[in-house]
Amino acid sequence: MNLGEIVPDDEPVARAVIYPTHLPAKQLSDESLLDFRGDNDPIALGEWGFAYSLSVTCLSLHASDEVHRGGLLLADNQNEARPLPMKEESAAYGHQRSYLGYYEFKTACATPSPDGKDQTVTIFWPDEPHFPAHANCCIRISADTVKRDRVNRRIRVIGLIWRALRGPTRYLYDVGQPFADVLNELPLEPMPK
Amino acid sequence: MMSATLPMGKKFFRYDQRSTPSTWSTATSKTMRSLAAATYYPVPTAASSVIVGSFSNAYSHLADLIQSFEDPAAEMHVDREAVRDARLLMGRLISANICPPKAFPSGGDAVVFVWEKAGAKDYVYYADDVLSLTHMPSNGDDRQFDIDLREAAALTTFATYIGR
Repeated sequence: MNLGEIVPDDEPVARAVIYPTHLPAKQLSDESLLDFRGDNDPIALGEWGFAYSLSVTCLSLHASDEVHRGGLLLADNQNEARPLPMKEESAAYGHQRSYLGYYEFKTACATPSPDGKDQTVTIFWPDEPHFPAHANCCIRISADTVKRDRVNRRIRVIGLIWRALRGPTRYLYDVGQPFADVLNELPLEPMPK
Repeated sequence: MMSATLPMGKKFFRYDQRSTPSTWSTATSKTMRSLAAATYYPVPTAASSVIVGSFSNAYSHLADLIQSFEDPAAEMHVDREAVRDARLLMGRLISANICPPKAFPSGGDAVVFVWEKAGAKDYVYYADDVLSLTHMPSNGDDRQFDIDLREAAALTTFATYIGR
């Protein structure tokens, strides 16, 4: 598969859970795991007016252990690029982001709207050498939509994906690794409910 | 017209954005009453002042969360307009003693509020006095409609639907 190719919508993809970014705390909702971000890349946009992307891993190209290795590296990269602020409450996990595992879904769950003004696709987007199975799940929306419409279309897709999530496939830290006891005990919502 | 596209049996109908606010309100109230009648959300029973007190912690956390989205360096950053709208809606929810939602950022330009009950989720986006409600029950009978909060009874009807 090459950069820019559409991943078949019946192939499972994995979304990594990074703590504390994604784990719901207090009033943060679970759907924060699915924060599609605005994407102006021509590959993401295709012929559409707007695109919103979410990083995923193609499970068909990776063994579970390799997906975990990618998640651990992702957390490390984020810690290096954007260190967490040194707050009292983050001392329990060393003021670091940590990878906890992943949820999976198939893009086919995000059916397009009947009016044809949006579609959800997963685009193969390898990030060599460390993330060879990386892809972007993209919500594409027609150019002739107003902001409210675009937000509502995103909400609908996020709701569909959330309902279709399976998992988690948990990564367990070895005893003796820093903060293993804390990280291994963090609750992850079993899906589907 | 929007009111003609409201049948409850039609999945994921969409309001015509050009419709007039008065039409939205009438249609929405009817829809919400129907959903509430299906024993989806309980009708409030306790005194409002007591409920507001029990909700204050959650609303305080929600305020902190929305503020955290404002930080341009935050991973879940959203723009200032989205933060402003989220705060405005939170103020309206508090004023109507509505049970506190959870929230998540979306796309860098919106904050979405979420209520969950009996396996169903209600997602709400708010801007320009209009609240967009996406109702997604586990059976897939999804619906999406707008509520114009400039209509006098709209917030009360919404409060009854969501619960207090």
